[in-house]
Amino acid sequence: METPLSAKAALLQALAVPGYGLDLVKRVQRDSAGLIRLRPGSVYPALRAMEQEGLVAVRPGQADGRRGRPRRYYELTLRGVQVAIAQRAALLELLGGPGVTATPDVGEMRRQLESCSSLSGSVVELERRVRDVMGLPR
Amino acid sequence: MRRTDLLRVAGRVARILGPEECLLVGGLAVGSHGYVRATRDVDFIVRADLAAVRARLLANGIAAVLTRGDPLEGGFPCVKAMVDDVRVDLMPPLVPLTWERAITVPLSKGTSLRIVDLEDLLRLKLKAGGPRDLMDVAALVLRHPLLEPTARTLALAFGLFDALARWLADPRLKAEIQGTKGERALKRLAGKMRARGQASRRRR
Repeated sequence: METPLSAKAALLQALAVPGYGLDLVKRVQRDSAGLIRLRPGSVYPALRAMEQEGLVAVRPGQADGRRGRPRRYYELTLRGVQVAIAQRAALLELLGGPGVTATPDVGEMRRQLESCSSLSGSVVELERRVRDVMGLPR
Repeated sequence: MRRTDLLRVAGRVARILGPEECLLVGGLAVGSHGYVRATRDVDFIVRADLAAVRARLLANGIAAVLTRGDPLEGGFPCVKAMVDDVRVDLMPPLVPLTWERAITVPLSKGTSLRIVDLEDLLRLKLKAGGPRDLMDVAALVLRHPLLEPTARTLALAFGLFDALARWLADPRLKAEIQGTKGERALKRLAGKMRARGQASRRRR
């Protein structure tokens, strides 16, 4: 089957978490249930192009036995994040919706939000009073 | 003086911008996912252009400035606003977020907040990578142990594997989240005594 996404588009989605070249190839294959297989011959030029376009930044990782050469970790820049989000939205639109249903306990989340807000309010109030007592500026 | 109420402030900002247009992140989101700690400010990720966000806040009587941030120092543009003495930071997406996985939590008066989902929150925290962020990640993992493999994999990708491992092994954080042996024994004893008291009241 023909790969349904360009290497660049697939890499942009795989880079939701930073990674090095081979890691990204494996990630794309795993997350597409083996349907999208990128070849190193297309991955590295795509990553270089993305770097030149300012979509990814590179940072060296730790040397890990590849004859002492550190891996190059690719990470999305702020612009890369925007492009990845826009492309994801376009793909979801094309495919007819996200199909993701989260089922967290909303009632519990609200109770915890209220606790957090109340605790924070108490801490701020306490700090104000301490500052007042000690004559410190707020 | 009115008591500081971060939730009311968050609700007001979400009402102004539209609940679908902003995701609650930061300390309040960490709290909503189970690690309740004090925080001073309210943080949102917004979809719209930051200049438009600032204009909207100003139009609703909220003081707001747009800071550019220095990208060379890892900075990013951000709208900083002040609502009822509470600082509100509104940022662009700093990692690709799965907006449709965010959780809608209804508040009073018909408003609601969209809260970033747990995995995206971990990625945001690991991207920020400060000591407080790592502590939050570790606390959330201790609260949701099934997340541990995901969190460790993410930390590896963000170059923070060892730092997260140190936080996950921190006995003080573990005690804070899970309670110490003594506290757990005390809770069990209190529960037993409560049950015994209820039983004797019923007998009478």
